[in-house]
Amino acid sequence: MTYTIPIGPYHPALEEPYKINVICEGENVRDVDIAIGFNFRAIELLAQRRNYLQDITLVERVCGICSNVHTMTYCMTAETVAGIQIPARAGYIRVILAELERLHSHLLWSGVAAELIGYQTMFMEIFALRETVMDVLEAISGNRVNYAMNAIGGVNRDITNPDDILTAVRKIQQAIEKLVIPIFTTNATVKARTAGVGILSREDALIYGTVGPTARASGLEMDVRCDQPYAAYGDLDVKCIVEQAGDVQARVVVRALEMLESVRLIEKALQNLPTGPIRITDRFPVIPVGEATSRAEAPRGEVFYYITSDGSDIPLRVKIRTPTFANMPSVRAMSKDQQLSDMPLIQASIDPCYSCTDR
Amino acid sequence: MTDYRKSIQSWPGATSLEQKNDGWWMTAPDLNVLEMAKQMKEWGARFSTMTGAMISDDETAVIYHYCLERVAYNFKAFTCGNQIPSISVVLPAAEWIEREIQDLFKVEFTGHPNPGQLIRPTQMEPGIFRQPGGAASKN
Repeated sequence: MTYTIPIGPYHPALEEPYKINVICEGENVRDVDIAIGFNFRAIELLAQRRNYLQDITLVERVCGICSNVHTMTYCMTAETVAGIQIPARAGYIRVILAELERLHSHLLWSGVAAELIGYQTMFMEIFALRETVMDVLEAISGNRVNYAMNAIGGVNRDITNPDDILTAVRKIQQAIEKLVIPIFTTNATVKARTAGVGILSREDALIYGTVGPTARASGLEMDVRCDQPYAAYGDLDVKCIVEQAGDVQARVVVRALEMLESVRLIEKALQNLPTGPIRITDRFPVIPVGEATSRAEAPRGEVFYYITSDGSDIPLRVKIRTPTFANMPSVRAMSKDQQLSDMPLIQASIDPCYSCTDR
Repeated sequence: MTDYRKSIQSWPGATSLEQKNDGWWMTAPDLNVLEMAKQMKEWGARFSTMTGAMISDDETAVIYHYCLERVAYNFKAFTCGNQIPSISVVLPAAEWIEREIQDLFKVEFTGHPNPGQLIRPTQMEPGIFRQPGGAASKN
């Protein structure tokens, strides 16, 4: 006999509103049904009522964690329609911001995971470390959440103190190496809660269209930074971190190793930061008639933007596909025949963001 | 080695592929999207997403975005009577995306296994994005 446990849309265990109906037989999960849309803001429709400059501010509000990747991908798409080539220095600054954002997002997720596992001390250590990353972001942009760094044709602010950033980033690297990675890969409690739990096979990962660390933890070697390099990633030899097990532990390990890769990319970008302008001279470029898509590797996976222009100052259509929208349906495959008590960790293992999903 | 572009242009309803800055594009109003989905799946292509875009008061363009061997492919088909076959039976990844386009543009995806509301507030009717964008949005 099966019974259904509804969780959400508002529940102390959920940081954002969504609903998951867990269909159980005893303590075993037989199926799940996920409902979204509780945070729907019609941002795509709003973007078709505002001009291209106003839209940058708007799309920065799609997500409170990966806000930068949304403005960057929006600008990249408009630049593709208009055939704009950004200055080399701007491409490097975009990479530095994107990787700092990945660091802070992965650290946030690691802290949340530590709390769900029941490891409160680890949660506090990780959130203290995340503050250092936030400080660096604030030093560069003047903001802690919405950085307002991207413009169509480049970036708004230069990096004037690369040595200070390097020093901070190396401290973060040491803490990740000495604290985060050893605990997430060797601690008995963490392994007991994550190994063999919530397995997503490679085949299911492909069929469900999963992206980012969720896909890479299931053996899919896909990373937009490697596959279709943008900004300055083509100069930086990005290493695609892939694990084969497809369980929660593999997702933990992929994110932990990606933090080290982000540190390496930031260091390399800072050391090779080209001289020159950070933005094209035309501050209000006209976006001609046309359409284009762009993809970028957000912390949670591929972000996709599509813009159509009728040549006016307002886009005809703006489409945003966020990584959680692609990853969340795969929770159904991960949950089958799992223990009910593991459900909070399984759904959290994709690092869901419902602000992004609902837009 | 498969000549993907030659094969794509031989699909039922296909037209010619055009290379743009962001990959390959094909506008094929009558494309057999089910055959397209089956073939792309067989080739191991990664399905990114679909975009709905209003082309008239009654019809919608549906664009299928794929990555095949690190190259982007975009296939634009048009609805007929604002209907188009669902590809969710071939690709579960399309299930939510089609439901979202149904909510936003009132497109009916025929044969969809679970065509319920996804993202639209329940008190609103489907088609909430069927409003002009671009210069026309100023009127």
